Amino acid sequence: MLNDLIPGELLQLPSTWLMVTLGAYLLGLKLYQQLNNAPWLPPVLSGFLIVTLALWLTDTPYATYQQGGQLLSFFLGPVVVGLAIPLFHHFHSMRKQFIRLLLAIILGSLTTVFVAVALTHFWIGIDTITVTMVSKSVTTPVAVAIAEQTNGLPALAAAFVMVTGIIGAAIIPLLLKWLKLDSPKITGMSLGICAHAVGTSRALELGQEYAAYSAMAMTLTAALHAIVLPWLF
Amino acid sequence: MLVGLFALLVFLILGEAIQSWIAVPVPSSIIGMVLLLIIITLKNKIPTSIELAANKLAPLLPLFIIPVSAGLITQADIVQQHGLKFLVILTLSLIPGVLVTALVLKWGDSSAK
Repeated sequence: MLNDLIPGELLQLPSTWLMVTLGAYLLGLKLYQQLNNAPWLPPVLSGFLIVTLALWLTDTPYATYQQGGQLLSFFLGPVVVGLAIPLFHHFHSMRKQFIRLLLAIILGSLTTVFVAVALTHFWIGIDTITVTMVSKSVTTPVAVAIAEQTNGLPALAAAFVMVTGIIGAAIIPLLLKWLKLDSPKITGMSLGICAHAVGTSRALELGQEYAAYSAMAMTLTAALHAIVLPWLF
Repeated sequence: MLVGLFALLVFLILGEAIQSWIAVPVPSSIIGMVLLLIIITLKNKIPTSIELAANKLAPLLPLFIIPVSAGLITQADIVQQHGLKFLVILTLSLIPGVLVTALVLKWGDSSAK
């Protein structure tokens, strides 16, 4: 295939794969803007598809790719630490209704996770996959950290999170509208709790108040799950 | 920007250190986040440099995630075998989560509109 045309040494260089990843992201970003921010094709999905295609076409092992790729994934650590800042802002803005919001986040997010984990356990029954399902409702950098911590599969965790986000952003507003429960608080919180960052960008399209609730719910869900769930699985 | 990044790294490494000392199963980056949150709460103010660094890094998140998700190529078998089940599980499990969230927010709260 392609590796007949490209000198083999180039495919071994970390900088080659750093370039490919950056290029794939920029292309994905461009595509996303062209499609008016289509929720079904976020840059992370198109970028992932392009990189995977490049690896497949050149027959490059993932370990070789990661020598370049890890330069980028390294930054997930500092990003997670930086989540303290929105968390601080959210604690401030939700002071008035703290207990009820916190209760909704705890019960809502743990319900969706336990249902998913139970379904996976009884339907698929492979422990590494079941453990990976645990982090499906939190934002990707935290999900990856949880998967590494619990000996799940980080890449599969990232995929679960992406799929959950896309489906959640599409069906949650519809479901709540259909049940006549739609409100900035309920829809925003549901999007943040169940569909993390993708849900929050959907909430932003619905309105500022939706987005504020969603961002808060997403950050708190991530922190809560990362602190509580590794003890259980 | 660099001062902020340095500070974020210090908290990350502190998280790493604490994790190896007391063997908690919480990811080290989350321990670092909690430490930073405690410091910010005590000071009741976010240091400008840290806020700047965090705000610069956050929008690049999709770029940082791509290399991890590309690891899915090593799990192609699992995806091929169980992909459809994953879709069903991920979709179905959203519904009870949303219902519970809505119920908690609605129940006994007359101000919820």
